[in-house]
Amino acid sequence: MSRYTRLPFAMIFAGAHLLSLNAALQAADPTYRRVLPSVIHGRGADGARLGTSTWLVNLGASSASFEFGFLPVSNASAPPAQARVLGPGETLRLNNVLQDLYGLSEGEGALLVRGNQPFELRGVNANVANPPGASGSGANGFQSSELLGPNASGHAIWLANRAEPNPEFRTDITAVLTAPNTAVTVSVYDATGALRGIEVVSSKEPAIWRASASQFLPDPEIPLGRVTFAVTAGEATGFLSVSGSAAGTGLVVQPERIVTATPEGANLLLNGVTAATDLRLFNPNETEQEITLEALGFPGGPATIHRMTVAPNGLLEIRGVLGAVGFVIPEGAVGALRLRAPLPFLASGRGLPMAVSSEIGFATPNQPVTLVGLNESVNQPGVRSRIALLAGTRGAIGLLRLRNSRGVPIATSPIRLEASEWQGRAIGAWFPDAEIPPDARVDIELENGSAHGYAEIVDNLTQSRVVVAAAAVPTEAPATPTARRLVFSALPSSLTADTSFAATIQALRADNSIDTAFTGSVDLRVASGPGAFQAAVTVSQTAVAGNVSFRDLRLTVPGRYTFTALGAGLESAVSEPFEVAPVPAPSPTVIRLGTFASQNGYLAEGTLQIERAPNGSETLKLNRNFRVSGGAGAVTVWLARGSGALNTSTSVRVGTMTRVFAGEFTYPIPAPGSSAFTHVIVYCDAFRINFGAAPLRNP
Amino acid sequence: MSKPILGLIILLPAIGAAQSGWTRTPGTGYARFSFSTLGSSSFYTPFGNKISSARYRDFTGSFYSEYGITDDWTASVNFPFLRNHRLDSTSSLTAVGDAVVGIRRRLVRGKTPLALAVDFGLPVGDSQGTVSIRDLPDGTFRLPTGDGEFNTRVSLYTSRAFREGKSVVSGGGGYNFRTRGFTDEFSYTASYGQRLSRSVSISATLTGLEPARAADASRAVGFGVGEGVAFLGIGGEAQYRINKRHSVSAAYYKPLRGKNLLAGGVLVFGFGIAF
Repeated sequence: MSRYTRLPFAMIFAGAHLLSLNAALQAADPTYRRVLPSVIHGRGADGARLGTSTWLVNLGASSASFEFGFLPVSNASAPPAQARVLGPGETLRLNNVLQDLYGLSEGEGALLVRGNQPFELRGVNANVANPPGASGSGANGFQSSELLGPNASGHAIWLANRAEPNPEFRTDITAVLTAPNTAVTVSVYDATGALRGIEVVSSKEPAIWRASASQFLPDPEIPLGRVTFAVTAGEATGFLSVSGSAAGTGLVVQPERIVTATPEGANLLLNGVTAATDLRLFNPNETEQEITLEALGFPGGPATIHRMTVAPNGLLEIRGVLGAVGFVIPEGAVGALRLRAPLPFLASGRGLPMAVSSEIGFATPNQPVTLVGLNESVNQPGVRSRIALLAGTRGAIGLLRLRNSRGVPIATSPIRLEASEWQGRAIGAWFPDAEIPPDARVDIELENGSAHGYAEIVDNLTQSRVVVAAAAVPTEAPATPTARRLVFSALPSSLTADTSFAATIQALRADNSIDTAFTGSVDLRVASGPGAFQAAVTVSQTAVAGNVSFRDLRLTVPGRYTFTALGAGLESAVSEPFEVAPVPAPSPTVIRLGTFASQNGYLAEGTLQIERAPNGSETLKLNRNFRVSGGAGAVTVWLARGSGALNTSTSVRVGTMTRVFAGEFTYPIPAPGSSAFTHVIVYCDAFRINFGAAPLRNP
Repeated sequence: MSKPILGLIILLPAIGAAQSGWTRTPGTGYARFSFSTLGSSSFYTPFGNKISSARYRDFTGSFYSEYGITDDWTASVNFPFLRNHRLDSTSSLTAVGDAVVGIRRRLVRGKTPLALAVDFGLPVGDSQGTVSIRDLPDGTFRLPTGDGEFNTRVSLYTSRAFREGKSVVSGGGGYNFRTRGFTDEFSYTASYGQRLSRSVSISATLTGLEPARAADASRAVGFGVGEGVAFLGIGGEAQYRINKRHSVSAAYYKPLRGKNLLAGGVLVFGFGIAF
């Protein structure tokens, strides 16, 4: 590990009450993996005692074994992995995962869970000693499909850090290296896209790296910034923890990949938007683009539209987005924002479910989704749950199915939503005739249309809220794992125009292994940049054992580019931006050399050379060891026909020194060049005396 | 960079008047307004060889005065109240020069008196003076009228009159303590004066200057206040007494050899008043 910072609990979770980490299910691997990147058990600030509760639900059709591994944030050795067996549909709740599984009285780190059936895992970090004394912190969790594999990058776009001693908000940056021999480049950018700090983190063993932005950054004053986690080897994820007196409920922000835009453009949905929602938009492209905001599901009339312009590589924060952009929404109303743009972009709402594209996270007739670990109580301490649905453009017809912690269905509730209709209510209101069991689960099953669903869990004592995203429920037996996405495995970080280069693309499964059975066709395109591939280049190739190599690629126009790799049915890959440099001018040739000797009692020393460029132009270069008497005034440099007193009518003045009289100087020699001259003279024009002369010789 | 000093013009402010073993009668004094001009197209390099250079011209108006405080103490002052100088390749600069205030104490009376003189060089001239170079856009050159340093010269002088006072010889030497990194200097002088008639007298002077140790050749100073200056010069002066109080004089001084020094001579016209 190149850098490791162990921060006290107080710095990491000071003021935080709830940190929800929700791991959902998407993969179809025989072995399923999930990571909760921040689990904790120990003392925090002001008498707080922090603990992580987890809910693991076996979503498979049969009993399954789950292995819990703990990766500590400190150098302490990891405790032995623990195993649990769950029946189909069963929920395992661990009130304090580190104590219950490992008997630890104190610890902090990441929880890595493997199972042989699909499962969902989510967690809540809470101050179990003094909940009223702390504010809440809620966020979506991590799922294995969001782990970043080789050459993948994720962008966490909600960094906020002030430099003063007691900042109104500050950010801790954490990278979790989940595989051996992992290397991650952590880069911090400000709102303009300027790089403000970078750290390469690598480790032979799984490890956790953490730094506070104020310690990490040379200039930590970045109220609006973002962090890129770029994995160059192995597998990793990361997150930002934003806290402080002005951070509101606090934030835990996870990195997201930039999804390639379809021909219709990029499309994201933010659910759970209210009048108080703050929004951030990140435009990762080299060109400015306009992002369209469409309010959905709010009562009071048809959807309205607004447009925002985001600068190239720019990050924009809109506080109270609904009011700021002119939407007139009734107070207390909840709905969603659909965001559209021609090119890829990222969006994040403070305290909202993660922005989703139109296909992911939606329930459809073929894809039920589920919300797990729900409770309903009026007691203190205790939590209550709300379920919110947003219908797609064709509405949604189906039902909600309530299950207990053993997975047994106990009630249903029909749903019928018009197009883009938003409905949210307490879980008890969805199932008025049923008693909500502890650690319940609600499936969303549709006959027609589509709907996006999420749950909101509110602490009765502190009113802190945790957002739980819906996870897909497997509908059939796991298939042979196949490629899910494309990644650039080899691409030069810098190129020269009109020079051939190669790009290699790999087809990866959900667990980031190469799908060696993949033989599909992959297209390579310029996603952004001032030019295109030369016409003769083949930009479509068939994969061999999951690898696609494009050779003899050539770009003729210098500039900043990104590539995209497209394959049918696969998540596209977008390369990191890279520079194509202009073709360098051919190196000049040294045609004359010289060494200065002092004249008239004044100092002149050092060497020189005269270079001739391919176009015939000549340049006089005084080398670093050059020094001449100075200080009384300007000293000039001449090409002369001898070393005696300078005859200015037969000599050529090529340069003047007015303030600096030592070191390297470069002067163009006017045509026809230096061939007619035998010496270089340094001369005091005011007094008309030579300070030194250098006879010219051939190299 | 060291540059040629202006020449004898600033080194011989009151030669023949103050550099003697005598002090003035108490309550009497002498004042002189002088105008000097120097022109030179050559100079002695720091190695001592003489080479051609851009032509330099200087015009200086000075006021010199000395006053007898007691039998043994005489005060003096020399102030170049106006200096205009230039190279023919540059614009010109006009400013005051450095002033010298001194006190002389007679140590030995008699036919061969001995006096100790302490002269303070006051840096009231323009030590940062800069002129522009005509044929060099943005090119400037430092052409100061003062060296910017406070210095103290301590000298011993002796004199002897012969032939009922018609002939006078004087001689002496001194050490100049310089500041701001300049190298200290030794100076020496010898002169012979002859009264030809009641109204006319002439004098000849041999004077020299040597640095106390090897000068710093790379020191960055301006023209005219150079480091490492050395010379041996001669001069002659003729004086005509108009009446008991007033006199006029003409003098010429020129270096015989030198280092870092303009090679031209100095022509000085003076008008003296005794009081």
